[in-house]
Amino acid sequence: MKRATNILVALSILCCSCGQPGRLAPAEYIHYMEQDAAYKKKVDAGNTQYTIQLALPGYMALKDAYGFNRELNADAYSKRIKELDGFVFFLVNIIKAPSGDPLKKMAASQASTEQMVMYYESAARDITLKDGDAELKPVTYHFENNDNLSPYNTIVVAFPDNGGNGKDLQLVFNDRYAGNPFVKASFPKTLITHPPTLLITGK
Amino acid sequence: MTRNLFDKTLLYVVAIAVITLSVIVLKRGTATQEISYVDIGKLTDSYTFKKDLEAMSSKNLYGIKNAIDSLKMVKKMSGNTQPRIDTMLNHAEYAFSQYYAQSNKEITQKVWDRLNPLIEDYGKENGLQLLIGANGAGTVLYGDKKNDVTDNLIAYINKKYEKGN
Repeated sequence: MKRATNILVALSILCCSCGQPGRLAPAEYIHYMEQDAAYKKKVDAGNTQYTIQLALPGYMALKDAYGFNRELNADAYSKRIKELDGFVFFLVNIIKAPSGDPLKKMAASQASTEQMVMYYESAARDITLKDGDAELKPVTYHFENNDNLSPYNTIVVAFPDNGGNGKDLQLVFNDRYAGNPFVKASFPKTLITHPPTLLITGK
Repeated sequence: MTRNLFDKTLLYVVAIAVITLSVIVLKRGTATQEISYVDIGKLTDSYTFKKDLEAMSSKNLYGIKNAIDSLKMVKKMSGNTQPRIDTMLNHAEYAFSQYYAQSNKEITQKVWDRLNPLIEDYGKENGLQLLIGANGAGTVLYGDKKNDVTDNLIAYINKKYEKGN
Protein backbone atom coordinates (compact mmCIF):
# COMPACT_ATOMS: atom_id res chain seq x y z
CA MET A 1 0.00 0.00 0.00
CA LYS A 2 2.79 2.34 1.01
CA ARG A 3 4.68 1.48 -2.16
CA ALA A 4 1.63 2.17 -4.32
CA THR A 5 1.16 5.56 -2.61
CA ASN A 6 4.80 6.45 -3.25
CA ILE A 7 4.44 5.55 -6.93
CA LEU A 8 1.25 7.63 -7.19
CA VAL A 9 2.94 10.63 -5.56
CA ALA A 10 5.95 10.30 -7.89
CA LEU A 11 3.65 10.05 -10.93
CA SER A 12 1.64 13.10 -9.81
CA ILE A 13 4.82 15.15 -9.44
CA LEU A 14 5.99 13.98 -12.86
CA CYS A 15 2.64 14.86 -14.47
CA CYS A 16 2.50 18.27 -12.80
CA SER A 17 6.01 19.13 -13.95
CA CYS A 18 5.27 18.20 -17.56
CA GLY A 19 4.93 21.29 -19.79
CA GLN A 20 6.15 23.68 -17.09
CA PRO A 21 9.48 25.28 -17.82
CA GLY A 22 10.25 25.53 -14.09
CA ARG A 23 13.15 27.70 -12.93
CA LEU A 24 15.34 29.05 -15.70
CA ALA A 25 18.73 30.73 -15.77
CA PRO A 26 18.79 34.07 -17.69
CA ALA A 27 20.10 32.62 -20.95
CA GLU A 28 17.60 29.77 -20.76
CA TYR A 29 14.82 32.23 -19.96
CA ILE A 30 15.60 34.32 -23.06
CA HIS A 31 15.87 31.19 -25.19
CA TYR A 32 12.57 29.88 -23.85
CA MET A 33 10.75 33.16 -24.55
CA GLU A 34 12.14 33.30 -28.07
CA GLN A 35 11.50 29.69 -28.99
CA ASP A 36 8.28 28.72 -27.23
CA ALA A 37 5.38 28.71 -29.68
CA ALA A 38 3.01 30.04 -27.04
CA TYR A 39 4.97 33.30 -26.78
CA LYS A 40 5.64 33.65 -30.51
CA LYS A 41 2.99 33.67 -33.22
CA LYS A 42 3.40 33.85 -36.97
CA VAL A 43 1.15 35.31 -39.62
CA ASP A 44 1.96 34.63 -43.25
CA ALA A 45 0.42 37.27 -45.52
CA GLY A 46 1.80 36.43 -48.94
CA ASN A 47 4.88 38.58 -49.56
CA THR A 48 5.22 39.54 -45.90
CA GLN A 49 5.64 37.42 -42.82
CA TYR A 50 4.92 38.74 -39.36
CA THR A 51 6.26 37.21 -36.18
CA ILE A 52 4.64 38.60 -33.06
CA GLN A 53 6.35 37.83 -29.78
CA LEU A 54 4.85 38.45 -26.38
CA ALA A 55 7.71 39.89 -24.34
CA LEU A 56 7.32 40.08 -20.58
CA PRO A 57 9.14 42.79 -18.58
CA GLY A 58 11.59 40.12 -17.34
CA TYR A 59 12.61 39.29 -20.90
CA MET A 60 12.98 42.94 -21.93
CA ALA A 61 14.99 43.76 -18.79
CA LEU A 62 17.25 40.75 -19.35
CA LYS A 63 17.93 41.77 -22.95
CA ASP A 64 18.89 45.25 -21.71
CA ALA A 65 21.01 43.98 -18.82
CA TYR A 66 23.11 41.62 -20.92
CA GLY A 67 26.39 43.24 -21.87
CA PHE A 68 28.40 42.67 -25.04
CA ASN A 69 30.49 40.18 -23.05
CA ARG A 70 27.31 38.09 -22.58
CA GLU A 71 27.43 38.59 -18.83
CA LEU A 72 24.38 39.66 -16.93
CA ASN A 73 24.54 42.80 -14.83
CA ALA A 74 22.18 41.92 -11.98
CA ASP A 75 21.99 45.53 -10.70
CA ALA A 76 21.07 46.82 -14.13
CA TYR A 77 18.47 44.08 -14.38
CA SER A 78 16.88 44.98 -11.01
CA LYS A 79 16.73 48.65 -11.97
CA ARG A 80 15.27 47.95 -15.40
CA ILE A 81 12.65 45.47 -14.21
CA LYS A 82 11.29 48.10 -11.81
CA GLU A 83 10.94 50.54 -14.71
CA LEU A 84 9.21 48.05 -16.98
CA ASP A 85 6.94 46.45 -14.41
CA GLY A 86 3.23 46.93 -15.13
CA PHE A 87 3.60 46.82 -18.90
CA VAL A 88 3.32 44.12 -21.48
CA PHE A 89 5.47 44.28 -24.61
CA PHE A 90 5.12 42.89 -28.10
CA LEU A 91 7.87 42.57 -30.68
CA VAL A 92 6.46 42.64 -34.19
CA ASN A 93 8.97 41.30 -36.69
CA ILE A 94 8.23 42.18 -40.30
CA ILE A 95 9.94 40.00 -42.88
CA LYS A 96 9.52 40.90 -46.52
CA ALA A 97 10.14 38.43 -49.30
CA PRO A 98 13.59 39.11 -50.78
CA SER A 99 13.69 40.87 -54.12
CA GLY A 100 17.02 41.87 -55.64
CA ASP A 101 19.93 43.61 -53.94
CA PRO A 102 18.51 45.05 -50.72
CA LEU A 103 21.02 47.90 -50.39
CA LYS A 104 20.50 49.12 -53.95
CA LYS A 105 16.80 48.69 -53.59
CA MET A 106 16.78 50.69 -50.39
CA ALA A 107 18.76 53.54 -51.91
CA ALA A 108 16.74 53.71 -55.08
CA SER A 109 13.28 53.09 -53.90
CA GLN A 110 11.18 56.04 -52.96
CA ALA A 111 8.62 53.57 -51.73
CA SER A 112 11.04 52.19 -49.16
CA THR A 113 11.65 55.66 -47.81
CA GLU A 114 7.94 56.31 -47.50
CA GLN A 115 7.58 52.98 -45.79
CA MET A 116 10.21 53.85 -43.22
CA VAL A 117 8.56 57.22 -42.54
CA MET A 118 5.23 55.51 -42.14
CA TYR A 119 6.58 52.88 -39.76
CA TYR A 120 8.51 55.53 -37.81
CA GLU A 121 5.69 58.01 -37.46
CA SER A 122 2.23 56.60 -37.84
CA ALA A 123 2.13 52.82 -37.52
CA ALA A 124 1.54 53.14 -33.77
CA ARG A 125 -2.00 54.28 -34.55
CA ASP A 126 -2.63 51.05 -36.41
CA ILE A 127 -1.74 48.73 -33.54
CA THR A 128 -4.25 47.86 -30.85
CA LEU A 129 -4.43 45.34 -28.05
CA LYS A 130 -7.76 43.72 -27.26
CA ASP A 131 -7.79 42.86 -23.58
CA GLY A 132 -11.22 41.37 -22.94
CA ASP A 133 -13.69 44.11 -23.89
CA ALA A 134 -11.07 46.86 -23.73
CA GLU A 135 -9.16 48.08 -26.78
CA LEU A 136 -5.84 49.52 -25.72
CA LYS A 137 -3.52 51.82 -27.65
CA PRO A 138 0.26 51.55 -27.25
CA VAL A 139 1.83 53.63 -24.49
CA THR A 140 5.18 53.34 -26.17
CA TYR A 141 6.22 52.52 -29.72
CA HIS A 142 9.62 52.03 -31.27
CA PHE A 143 10.58 51.04 -34.79
CA GLU A 144 13.96 49.35 -35.21
CA ASN A 145 15.12 50.03 -38.72
CA ASN A 146 17.76 47.58 -39.87
CA ASP A 147 18.42 49.56 -43.07
CA ASN A 148 17.78 46.40 -45.05
CA LEU A 149 21.02 44.92 -43.69
CA SER A 150 18.99 42.17 -42.10
CA PRO A 151 15.93 40.67 -43.72
CA TYR A 152 13.55 42.01 -41.10
CA ASN A 153 12.53 45.12 -39.21
CA THR A 154 11.06 45.12 -35.75
CA ILE A 155 8.37 47.18 -34.08
CA VAL A 156 8.37 47.24 -30.29
CA VAL A 157 5.10 48.23 -28.63
CA ALA A 158 4.07 48.32 -25.00
CA PHE A 159 0.65 48.39 -23.39
CA PRO A 160 -0.38 48.71 -19.75
CA ASP A 161 -0.85 45.34 -18.08
CA ASN A 162 -4.43 45.38 -16.83
CA GLY A 163 -4.01 42.27 -14.74
CA GLY A 164 -5.79 38.99 -15.14
CA ASN A 165 -9.38 38.92 -16.38
CA GLY A 166 -9.08 35.40 -17.74
CA LYS A 167 -9.50 36.41 -21.38
CA ASP A 168 -6.87 36.19 -24.09
CA LEU A 169 -4.86 39.18 -25.22
CA GLN A 170 -5.14 39.83 -28.94
CA LEU A 171 -2.75 42.12 -30.79
CA VAL A 172 -4.17 43.54 -34.03
CA PHE A 173 -1.87 45.29 -36.50
CA ASN A 174 -3.26 47.01 -39.54
CA ASP A 175 -0.13 47.27 -41.68
CA ARG A 176 -1.27 49.94 -44.10
CA TYR A 177 2.01 50.27 -45.90
CA ALA A 178 2.41 46.61 -46.80
CA GLY A 179 -1.33 46.47 -47.46
CA ASN A 180 -1.91 43.76 -44.87
CA PRO A 181 -4.80 44.63 -42.58
CA PHE A 182 -5.93 42.49 -39.65
CA VAL A 183 -2.66 40.85 -38.70
CA LYS A 184 -3.76 39.19 -35.46
CA ALA A 185 -2.11 37.16 -32.74
CA SER A 186 -3.64 35.91 -29.49
CA PHE A 187 -1.93 35.03 -26.25
CA PRO A 188 -3.50 33.45 -23.15
CA LYS A 189 -3.35 35.64 -20.05
CA THR A 190 -1.76 32.77 -18.15
CA LEU A 191 1.48 33.44 -20.03
CA ILE A 192 1.66 36.75 -18.14
CA THR A 193 0.19 35.65 -14.82
CA HIS A 194 2.24 32.43 -14.64
CA PRO A 195 5.54 33.03 -16.44
CA PRO A 196 8.52 30.73 -15.93
CA THR A 197 10.58 31.54 -12.85
CA LEU A 198 13.81 33.37 -13.50
CA LEU A 199 16.91 32.55 -11.47
CA ILE A 200 19.28 35.48 -11.13
CA THR A 201 22.61 34.60 -9.55
CA GLY A 202 24.88 37.19 -11.20
CA LYS A 203 26.86 40.00 -9.61
CA MET B 1 5.45 -22.94 -10.62
CA THR B 2 8.23 -21.41 -12.75
CA ARG B 3 6.58 -22.68 -15.93
CA ASN B 4 3.31 -21.12 -14.82
CA LEU B 5 4.98 -17.75 -14.24
CA PHE B 6 6.69 -17.92 -17.64
CA ASP B 7 3.37 -18.66 -19.39
CA LYS B 8 1.70 -15.76 -17.59
CA THR B 9 4.49 -13.33 -18.52
CA LEU B 10 4.43 -14.51 -22.13
CA LEU B 11 0.68 -14.00 -22.23
CA TYR B 12 1.04 -10.42 -20.94
CA VAL B 13 3.79 -9.62 -23.45
CA VAL B 14 1.76 -11.00 -26.37
CA ALA B 15 -1.36 -9.15 -25.21
CA ILE B 16 0.53 -5.83 -24.93
CA ALA B 17 2.11 -6.37 -28.36
CA VAL B 18 -1.29 -7.10 -29.96
CA ILE B 19 -2.89 -4.04 -28.34
CA THR B 20 -0.01 -1.76 -29.41
CA LEU B 21 -0.14 -3.05 -32.98
CA SER B 22 -3.92 -2.61 -33.12
CA VAL B 23 -3.65 0.98 -31.89
CA ILE B 24 -0.97 1.77 -34.51
CA VAL B 25 -3.02 0.21 -37.33
CA LEU B 26 -6.22 1.95 -36.21
CA LYS B 27 -4.43 5.28 -35.87
CA ARG B 28 -2.94 5.01 -39.35
CA GLY B 29 -6.28 4.02 -40.79
CA THR B 30 -8.20 6.95 -39.29
CA ALA B 31 -5.62 9.75 -39.23
CA THR B 32 -4.33 9.47 -42.75
CA GLN B 33 -6.97 10.36 -45.26
CA GLU B 34 -5.02 10.67 -48.46
CA ILE B 35 -7.42 12.54 -50.72
CA SER B 36 -9.96 15.10 -49.56
CA TYR B 37 -11.88 17.92 -51.12
CA VAL B 38 -13.04 21.37 -50.09
CA ASP B 39 -15.93 23.57 -51.24
CA ILE B 40 -13.93 26.68 -52.17
CA GLY B 41 -16.92 29.04 -52.24
CA LYS B 42 -18.03 28.03 -48.76
CA LEU B 43 -14.42 28.16 -47.53
CA THR B 44 -13.73 31.72 -48.67
CA ASP B 45 -17.19 33.02 -47.70
CA SER B 46 -16.78 31.63 -44.20
CA TYR B 47 -13.27 33.02 -43.71
CA THR B 48 -13.49 35.73 -41.04
CA PHE B 49 -10.59 37.62 -42.63
CA LYS B 50 -12.62 38.02 -45.83
CA LYS B 51 -15.64 39.20 -43.87
CA ASP B 52 -13.47 41.79 -42.04
CA LEU B 53 -11.97 43.01 -45.33
CA GLU B 54 -15.43 43.32 -46.90
CA ALA B 55 -16.71 45.26 -43.89
CA MET B 56 -13.76 47.65 -44.17
CA SER B 57 -14.28 48.06 -47.92
CA SER B 58 -18.03 48.61 -47.46
CA LYS B 59 -17.37 51.60 -45.20
CA ASN B 60 -15.44 53.32 -48.01
CA LEU B 61 -18.04 52.33 -50.57
CA TYR B 62 -20.81 53.80 -48.40
CA GLY B 63 -18.81 57.04 -48.24
CA ILE B 64 -18.73 57.31 -52.05
CA LYS B 65 -22.38 56.20 -52.29
CA ASN B 66 -23.40 58.96 -49.87
CA ALA B 67 -21.55 61.51 -52.01
CA ILE B 68 -23.40 60.24 -55.11
CA ASP B 69 -26.77 60.46 -53.33
CA SER B 70 -26.00 64.00 -52.18
CA LEU B 71 -25.05 65.07 -55.70
CA LYS B 72 -28.24 63.54 -57.06
CA MET B 73 -30.23 65.48 -54.49
CA VAL B 74 -28.45 68.74 -55.40
CA LYS B 75 -29.07 68.08 -59.07
CA LYS B 76 -32.75 67.50 -58.44
CA MET B 77 -33.09 70.63 -56.32
CA SER B 78 -31.30 72.78 -58.88
CA GLY B 79 -33.69 71.62 -61.58
CA ASN B 80 -31.19 69.59 -63.61
CA THR B 81 -29.71 72.77 -65.09
CA GLN B 82 -26.10 72.68 -63.86
CA PRO B 83 -23.68 70.74 -66.11
CA ARG B 84 -20.98 70.98 -63.44
CA ILE B 85 -23.03 68.82 -61.09
CA ASP B 86 -23.47 66.27 -63.90
CA THR B 87 -19.70 66.10 -64.32
CA MET B 88 -19.18 65.66 -60.57
CA LEU B 89 -21.86 62.99 -60.47
CA ASN B 90 -20.24 61.10 -63.35
CA HIS B 91 -16.87 61.27 -61.59
CA ALA B 92 -18.35 59.99 -58.34
CA GLU B 93 -20.16 57.12 -60.08
CA TYR B 94 -16.97 56.21 -61.95
CA ALA B 95 -15.00 56.30 -58.66
CA PHE B 96 -17.60 54.04 -57.08
CA SER B 97 -17.41 51.41 -59.83
CA GLN B 98 -13.60 51.60 -59.93
CA TYR B 99 -13.25 51.29 -56.17
CA TYR B 100 -15.72 48.40 -56.11
CA ALA B 101 -13.84 46.47 -58.82
CA GLN B 102 -10.42 47.25 -57.33
CA SER B 103 -11.38 46.35 -53.77
CA ASN B 104 -12.94 43.06 -54.90
CA LYS B 105 -9.73 42.18 -56.73
CA GLU B 106 -7.58 43.13 -53.72
CA ILE B 107 -9.78 41.21 -51.28
CA THR B 108 -9.52 38.05 -53.41
CA GLN B 109 -5.74 38.46 -53.63
CA LYS B 110 -5.29 39.08 -49.91
CA VAL B 111 -7.57 36.21 -48.96
CA TRP B 112 -5.61 33.74 -51.09
CA ASP B 113 -2.28 35.15 -49.85
CA ARG B 114 -3.36 34.15 -46.35
CA LEU B 115 -5.19 30.96 -47.28
CA ASN B 116 -2.47 29.25 -49.33
CA PRO B 117 0.08 28.75 -46.52
CA LEU B 118 -2.70 27.80 -44.09
CA ILE B 119 -4.10 25.16 -46.45
CA GLU B 120 -0.59 23.79 -46.89
CA ASP B 121 -0.15 23.57 -43.10
CA TYR B 122 -3.55 21.92 -42.75
CA GLY B 123 -2.68 19.32 -45.39
CA LYS B 124 0.63 18.51 -43.74
CA GLU B 125 -0.81 18.35 -40.22
CA ASN B 126 -3.56 15.99 -41.36
CA GLY B 127 -1.38 13.76 -43.50
CA LEU B 128 -3.18 14.60 -46.74
CA GLN B 129 -1.64 13.61 -50.06
CA LEU B 130 -4.03 15.70 -52.13
CA LEU B 131 -6.61 18.37 -51.33
CA ILE B 132 -8.97 19.18 -54.19
CA GLY B 133 -10.84 22.45 -54.47
CA ALA B 134 -14.45 21.98 -55.56
CA ASN B 135 -15.85 25.18 -56.99
CA GLY B 136 -19.04 23.97 -58.66
CA ALA B 137 -17.47 24.20 -62.13
CA GLY B 138 -16.77 20.53 -62.52
CA THR B 139 -13.40 20.10 -60.83
CA VAL B 140 -15.02 17.53 -58.56
CA LEU B 141 -17.85 15.60 -60.20
CA TYR B 142 -18.50 13.37 -57.23
CA GLY B 143 -17.11 13.14 -53.75
CA ASP B 144 -18.14 11.01 -50.83
CA LYS B 145 -19.20 13.24 -47.92
CA LYS B 146 -16.62 11.59 -45.66
CA ASN B 147 -13.87 13.11 -47.83
CA ASP B 148 -15.34 16.62 -47.53
CA VAL B 149 -13.11 18.54 -45.09
CA THR B 150 -14.61 21.98 -45.74
CA ASP B 151 -15.98 22.49 -42.23
CA ASN B 152 -12.77 21.29 -40.59
CA LEU B 153 -10.68 23.57 -42.77
CA ILE B 154 -12.97 26.56 -42.07
CA ALA B 155 -12.57 26.00 -38.32
CA TYR B 156 -8.80 25.66 -38.79
CA ILE B 157 -8.30 28.85 -40.87
CA ASN B 158 -10.54 30.97 -38.64
CA LYS B 159 -8.73 29.81 -35.52
CA LYS B 160 -5.37 30.61 -37.11
CA TYR B 161 -6.66 34.01 -38.23
CA GLU B 162 -7.71 35.01 -34.72
CA LYS B 163 -4.81 33.46 -32.83
CA GLY B 164 -1.88 33.37 -35.26
CA ASN B 165 0.16 30.31 -36.10
